[in-house]
Amino acid sequence: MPLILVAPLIVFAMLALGVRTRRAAANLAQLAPLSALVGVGLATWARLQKPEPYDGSYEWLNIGTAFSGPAQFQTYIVDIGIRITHLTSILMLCALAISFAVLAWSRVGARGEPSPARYYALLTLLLTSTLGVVASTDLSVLYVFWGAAAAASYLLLSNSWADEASTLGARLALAVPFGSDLALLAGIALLYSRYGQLNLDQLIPQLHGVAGAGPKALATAGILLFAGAAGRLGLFPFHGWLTRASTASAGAHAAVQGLWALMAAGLLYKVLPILAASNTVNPWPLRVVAVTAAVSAVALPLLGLAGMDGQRALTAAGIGVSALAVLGFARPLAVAPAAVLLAATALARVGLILAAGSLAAGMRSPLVSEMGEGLRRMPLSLLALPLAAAGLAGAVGAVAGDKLLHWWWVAAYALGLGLGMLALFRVYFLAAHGPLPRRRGFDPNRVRAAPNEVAVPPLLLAAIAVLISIALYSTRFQGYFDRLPHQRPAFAFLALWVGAPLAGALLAAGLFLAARALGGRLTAGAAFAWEGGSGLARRALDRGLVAPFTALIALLEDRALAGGESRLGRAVGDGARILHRRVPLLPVALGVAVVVVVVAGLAAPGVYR
Amino acid sequence: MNHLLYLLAVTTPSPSPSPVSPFGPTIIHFNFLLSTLIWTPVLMAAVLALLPNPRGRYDRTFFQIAFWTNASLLFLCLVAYNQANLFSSAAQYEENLPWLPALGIQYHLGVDGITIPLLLLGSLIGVVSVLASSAIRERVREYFVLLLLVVGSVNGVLCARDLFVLVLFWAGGILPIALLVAGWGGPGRRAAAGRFLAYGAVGTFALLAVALVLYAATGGISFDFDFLAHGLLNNRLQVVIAILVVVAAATRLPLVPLHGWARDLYAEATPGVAMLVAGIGARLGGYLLIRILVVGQHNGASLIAPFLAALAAATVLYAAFAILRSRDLRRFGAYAALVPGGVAALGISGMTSLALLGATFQLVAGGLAAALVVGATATIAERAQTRDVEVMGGLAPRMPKLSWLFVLAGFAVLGVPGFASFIAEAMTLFGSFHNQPGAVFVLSLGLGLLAVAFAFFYQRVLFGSPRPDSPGASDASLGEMWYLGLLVAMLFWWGVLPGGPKLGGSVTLFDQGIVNVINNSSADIMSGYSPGAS
Repeated sequence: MPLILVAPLIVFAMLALGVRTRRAAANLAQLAPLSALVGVGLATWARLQKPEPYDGSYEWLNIGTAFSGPAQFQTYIVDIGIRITHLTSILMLCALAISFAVLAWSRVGARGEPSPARYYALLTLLLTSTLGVVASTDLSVLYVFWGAAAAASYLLLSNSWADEASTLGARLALAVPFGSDLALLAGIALLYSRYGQLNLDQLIPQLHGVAGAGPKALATAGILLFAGAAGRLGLFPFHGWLTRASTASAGAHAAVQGLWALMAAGLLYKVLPILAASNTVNPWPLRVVAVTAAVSAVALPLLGLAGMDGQRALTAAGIGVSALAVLGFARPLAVAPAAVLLAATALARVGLILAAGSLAAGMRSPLVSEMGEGLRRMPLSLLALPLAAAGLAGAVGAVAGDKLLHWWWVAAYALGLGLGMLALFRVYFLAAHGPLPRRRGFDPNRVRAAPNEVAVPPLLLAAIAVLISIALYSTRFQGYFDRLPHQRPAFAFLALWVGAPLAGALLAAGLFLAARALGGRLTAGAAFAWEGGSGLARRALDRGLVAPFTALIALLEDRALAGGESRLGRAVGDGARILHRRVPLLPVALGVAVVVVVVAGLAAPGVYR
Repeated sequence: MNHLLYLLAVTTPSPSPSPVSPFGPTIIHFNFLLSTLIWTPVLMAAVLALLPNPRGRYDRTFFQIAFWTNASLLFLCLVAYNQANLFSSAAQYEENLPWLPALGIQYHLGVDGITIPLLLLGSLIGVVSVLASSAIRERVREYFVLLLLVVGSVNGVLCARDLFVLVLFWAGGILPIALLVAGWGGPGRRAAAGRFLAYGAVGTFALLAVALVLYAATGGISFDFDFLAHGLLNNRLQVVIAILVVVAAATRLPLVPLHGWARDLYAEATPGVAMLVAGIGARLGGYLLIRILVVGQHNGASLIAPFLAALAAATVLYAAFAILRSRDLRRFGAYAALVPGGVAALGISGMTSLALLGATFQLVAGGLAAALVVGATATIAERAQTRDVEVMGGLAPRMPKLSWLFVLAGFAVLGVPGFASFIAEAMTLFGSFHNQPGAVFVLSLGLGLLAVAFAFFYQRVLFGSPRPDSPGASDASLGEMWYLGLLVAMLFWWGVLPGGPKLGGSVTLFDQGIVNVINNSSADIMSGYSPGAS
């Protein structure tokens, strides 16, 4: 069991400390997912037909913190617990698949990365952290892995430090999700402050008891925990860190968004009982989940339509469809299938980004307006886009079902799917069938198909996503993860869930064929407006938040404090100058002695008792 | 000789239970361990001061004497840490001699679970600061004499069980530090030394006032902690004492707005002195809050806790914003070194067992992190021949080792998983949330801003494009790698194994676990404060 976490950690340490060359780093990094695969594979195989999970734990901390007061606050126990259920198995296998694909792609696709050992080491650390988050049974341990993954993500995205745009994107990737990580921490702290317990096995049974948190506190904790997951998933309004990270290497960008989607799936599945427990008296947490997911599903593909950066557009569209999977978490009986769907969308999104990275590298530009003739020149890389789109949107219908709570759920699913596919296929049509313009220093005739190491991994990931999507239409497959009965949605709804993405794809094709020039100009106008708007927002944030505080500190440090200190310093200096003067020693000593005696006498009458 | 015999006779029957250890008990078994820790550096300082040194011939010897003195203290502290009794919250290695019986002042020394890790930290930082001072070439003898005096005074503050003795050691450390800054610091050394002296005087007067008020209010019988802690004081008096303790602690920890000395001292002092003050000197403020306020003044501590939490949150937020506008690398390190103190103060104001455990652990881990960040920035500034961030750029290819040490220092201050500061911060935040949720949130927000500031600096100073007009830079020497690496190693050790390494999950190997040692006392202290406790 420890093999799953310890072996990749050892590989990380070896990469960080001992490897210098690119080839050695790439080869050694493969050992991490390989060794973890052995562990996960064995555990999965052992529990294939058995409903009981595979449990293992190591007692990390066990402290008796108090001798009185409520019993739950008298100890602080942290066990590094690992639990492999059917669901965690598939999440971990998806993480390993992503890791293998990114590592294979990076052998050629990330040749330009500075410090390859660091790059591969951070990929390994991110994988280890993902496995830790998915498998852990204690919220504090989960947060340890979560924090490690956050640090690894930031360093991975900012690996190309010399590139200003990449560094700015990485800084955003540090700052924006920090807010949501903070929310997660606050949620965990709130739960601890009420229950004195962070082990989910012991915490969840207490949720319905009288002691502990009231409905309001429980609802707040649930919303904070969800905010933690939403931030890392890139749901609206936390999407900026993922879309702006497109300036980083495609391998890093793909790994970060794929693995974080899996971690978010793991977290949401674990904490959903907390949201559900508060839902019995306070429906707000699940409403927040549903509304955030629905808004993200509609808004983010729209944002994806605005820009010309292919990787950014695909990221926005991918987040939008993943948000539809999150919507499933707000429905009873759809939680485990929703987590599997989120894993499938993670695979598809990684496939999309890797393929887009290959296309951008081949056509020497990240902008879709400067891409074209891809189907003829880079067919394998380009085919990954529609295949990944199928994997992304294919199974949403299976999880959406037909027993929807409100009419706007239907609208969110249909609009989200349609807009997501519109944004995605817009990129596909421009890159596949658009003209490849000649640019300064770029000859279209020199564009060649990407080597197999780069072209095949995205295709494979997309294919796995499609397979999972197809399997999700089987109620038996859905029931395998939660041992609950599931029903197929009615045909009319099924038609709607399949029709909506098809409509989006067809609309993209129609727009491409009918008004390519007009569409290009429109898109350019939208991109211009978007850039202007975000620039304004940045300036407003700087002027409204950062500047006043820094001005205040300047005022404090350079004027008030420095003035006060200089007066204080002068006073001390003047005091010290007395020592340089010739003073009569005996009278001074006698005076000091008298003062000390009087003070001591006044302060402590007991001295003379 | 007679004095020694008298000392042995008085101190032999130790009033504390004999320490029990899972491994290596009775390696050293003598009853004046704490006196050794305090007076050995003072004695060696006297020896250094008296040794002849014609034309600086023995400068290197002075360095070696200072190093081996601190190294032997570290060894003794390791033994004390390893042999600490985990099943008794009473004072251990206790020594009690009457000193001024008419005034109720005793030479009373003793350590508990809170003090032992801090003693270990102090001796480790002592070794590190000597190693960091290997480049001192002017007035070497005087430098190491003063450094050893500071080490002795720090150990005295930590070991004292008598408030009057504590005040003496507290005040005794201020002047040597100020002289070290004034004599060997950078261009602004005189102002830095003056400020430290002034703030130190304010803190000492506040502490002296605490001692006198407590002494008077408890009947003027004794300054002994055990006696003072059991005095029944009314709430108003407790609040007055609490305010004075917070003032004294805030001048040393330091907390905003009494942090003025820290910026200049950490930026102007030599790396060794800056690390000594940031690593252990400043931690004494937190220790004071625990030892006098939390242990002795239950109502006063509870009443003043929101105020202390606000100061803690303000300190972290202030440090984050100050770093964002800072253009001086050493000032960046100075502001970053304020953060661990703020987190520890929040834990102390949390008023739960877990928060106090986290706060004490944060004093240790934060001390290591603060020393690391101050040391790393000072070394980089020396090696890059400039402190101006505008001039620096792309240093990582030219100084890869120092760059990564600087990155690790940032992670340690922020509390990234894997570092001891992560566990300490997590315990502090979880434990404090019950009583101080607002402060926890603001402080965490400050940590977030700090992360952005660190990212900005890393990009600008280390990994950005190199600047053609920047002066030549070189990487860390082996010695610098050693002392900074030692701090990183300790942060990792306690970060990965806070409960100590265990064979088969139960048998403890050579380290009992720092959280177990701290918890030995913190649980006892905080039981009365537990949520829901009557």
